[in-house]
Amino acid sequence: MDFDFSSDQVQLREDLRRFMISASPRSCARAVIESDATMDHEVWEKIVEMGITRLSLPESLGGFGMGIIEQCIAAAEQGRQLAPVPSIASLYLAQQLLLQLPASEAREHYLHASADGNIFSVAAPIKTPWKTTISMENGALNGHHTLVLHAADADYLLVYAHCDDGTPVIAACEKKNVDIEPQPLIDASMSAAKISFKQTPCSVLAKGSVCEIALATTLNRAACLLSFEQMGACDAAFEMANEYAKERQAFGRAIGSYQAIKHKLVDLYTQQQLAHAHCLYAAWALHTNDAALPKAAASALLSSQQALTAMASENIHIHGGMGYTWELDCHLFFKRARFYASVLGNQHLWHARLGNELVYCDTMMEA
Amino acid sequence: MDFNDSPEEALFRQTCHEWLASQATLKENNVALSFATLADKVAASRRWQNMKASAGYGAITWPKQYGGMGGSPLQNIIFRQEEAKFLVPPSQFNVSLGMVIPSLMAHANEDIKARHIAPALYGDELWCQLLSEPQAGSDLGMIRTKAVRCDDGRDGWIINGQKVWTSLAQFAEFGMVLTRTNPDVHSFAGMTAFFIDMKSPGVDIKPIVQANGHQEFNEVFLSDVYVPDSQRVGEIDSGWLVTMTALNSERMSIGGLVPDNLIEHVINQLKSLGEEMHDPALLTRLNQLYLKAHGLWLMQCQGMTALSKGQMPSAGLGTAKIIACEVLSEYAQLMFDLRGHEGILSPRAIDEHWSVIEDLWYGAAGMRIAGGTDEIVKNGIGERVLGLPPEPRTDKGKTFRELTERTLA
Repeated sequence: MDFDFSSDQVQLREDLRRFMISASPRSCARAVIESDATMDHEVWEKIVEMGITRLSLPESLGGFGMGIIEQCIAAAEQGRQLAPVPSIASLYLAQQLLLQLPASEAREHYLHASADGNIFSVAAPIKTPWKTTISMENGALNGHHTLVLHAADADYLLVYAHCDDGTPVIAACEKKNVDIEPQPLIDASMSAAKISFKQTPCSVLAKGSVCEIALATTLNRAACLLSFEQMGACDAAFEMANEYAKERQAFGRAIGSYQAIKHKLVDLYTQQQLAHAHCLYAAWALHTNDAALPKAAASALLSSQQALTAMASENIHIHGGMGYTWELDCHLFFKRARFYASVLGNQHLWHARLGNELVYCDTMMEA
Repeated sequence: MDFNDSPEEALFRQTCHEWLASQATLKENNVALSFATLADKVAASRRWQNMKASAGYGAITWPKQYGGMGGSPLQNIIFRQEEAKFLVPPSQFNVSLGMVIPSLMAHANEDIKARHIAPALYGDELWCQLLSEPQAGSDLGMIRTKAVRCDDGRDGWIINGQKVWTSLAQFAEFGMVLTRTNPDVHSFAGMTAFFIDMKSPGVDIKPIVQANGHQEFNEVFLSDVYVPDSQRVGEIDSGWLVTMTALNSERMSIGGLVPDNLIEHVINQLKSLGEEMHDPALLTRLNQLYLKAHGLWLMQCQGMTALSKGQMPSAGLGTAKIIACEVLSEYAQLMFDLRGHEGILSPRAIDEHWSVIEDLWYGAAGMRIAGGTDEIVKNGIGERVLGLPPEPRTDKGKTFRELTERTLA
């Protein structure tokens, strides 16, 4: 039995934690919310410099050749700092999608660009049937997508489109030929936009059913990475609440000594431990490309979402009136939690996926 | 990262499996042995414990000098995982071998160890723990059972009082009893541990009928029970230390909290519903149960990984009991609901499998109380793992006498 991070991975986590705390203090997320910015470019540059964008890519594609588990660890550390950077769009979705596509010179080119820190957005549906209003004909895209994550920050877009005969394609285009209309978000430290294509030149990366298989796999892989990012945020919010419960005095004693607060924190801790275990399982499924990946991804996403949603809400509550102020960071977690809970599809979508996997797919290993 | 045994672990598992296969048959569809009475179950467990001990599997983690295997906690888990695959009697020796005897090893003199460890290991002598009392449950510091020195020249003690919730006392040969020997010091400081022959004059055992109709635990009345000083365990007034050793011995155990295949049972039942099974609300309940049950299994795998590396499991595993109770309760509730209005039928009228579900349903309610209530467990995690301050205690610095006088007043 060897179901845990290796000692090298634990060391990497410590290194990345120190790095992220200094590269992206939570004041960075706050600053993006308080400004018109859609991300913090300085933080992203540091992340690129640190090599996080090339961590799990093979050396032949400009990467460090570390594993996907290391990428999961990096995702958690970004979540801890609520880093205002486009990792979900560019790394969890776009980079993973490129990796799923058949080998080609273009794919290799874009993966190198991704490793070098160019920002990618993905304009694609997040559920079956894979519908789109975007068409691709004669090397040009037409149509629109109502909500594309980090489109305003992107250097390139990966687009799922249909040819006239209905054949699906995945194509890449540069941002300069796309009309981008940023949308206000519930968490303004993240960004998303409505985009329109009008005879936008593109290069086709894949065509046919391979596109949909790649998209489905990508969503599962992105869900695993997002789960780690959620748990990073959950852990940070938990520490914030727990520390406050030790310090804050009421009626002559620390509020954490009252069972009402103590047991609440233990319940949250229990939920957190379960979610961590599901995330670790998802990392294992990613690493081994196991048939349990869809189930592991849905479990990790649902459990981490539930843990963070509860944690972000109780973090405000445990801080009392101060928790409800702009001054404290509680609201940053609250908003980010709500953002995560929708960004790859809501809980009902993922419950349907998990239920489907459990009932119809025979990959049960235990309990 | 993988879920496989290391080569040494695999070899140990295979050795265990082969021995078990030579002694018993494999379970079919996870159906366990059933017994007409608890007495039959205990008798069968004694015989099976004897067979295990004779082959060296009686106590995997005990040192070899006491007849154990000198194995690691992980090897203990592996043996139990393999044992669970076979049709063998469920062990009635968890208290004897998992709590009381380890405490004897730590605190009793060589004569006691030489006389008592082997018969317990071989299943010839069953032990119980006489701890809780009607007025001392979670707060064991409030036990009132008194032990006073004999004043008739005998080198011994006279014990008077009442114990309760004592598992298997009606079958046990011996019992470890926690008594009050000094009421004029702090409540935890004035207690002394003895062991008694359960057939001693003055020991009166009355089985308690539990909510599920079973009678596993008992009230034990102790009236002028004589116990020689040679049966004292540990120093006078140091009984709490002896008890803590027994309670802590349980903490390394991982697994065995929830039966395997719970989710498979729910899915099979769900599939029998036809069209109705597509109800998203039902699927969500299945999912939520799966997230807890599988998550618990994964946490236990993390714990086993730590043991495999020679480390202690993470403190987070302390939440396992709470999660397990929720899993069992939610599993049983969901299964009954999946029977539709036939959920009102007594499971005993249906089949063995449904009786097990009924037992789990009751069992979960009991498990939330036994071995530390949910609230006590949460206090422990909150204080020891999360570092939150304890509740201020009004019993601090007070002697047992002061505390009881106030309750009486």
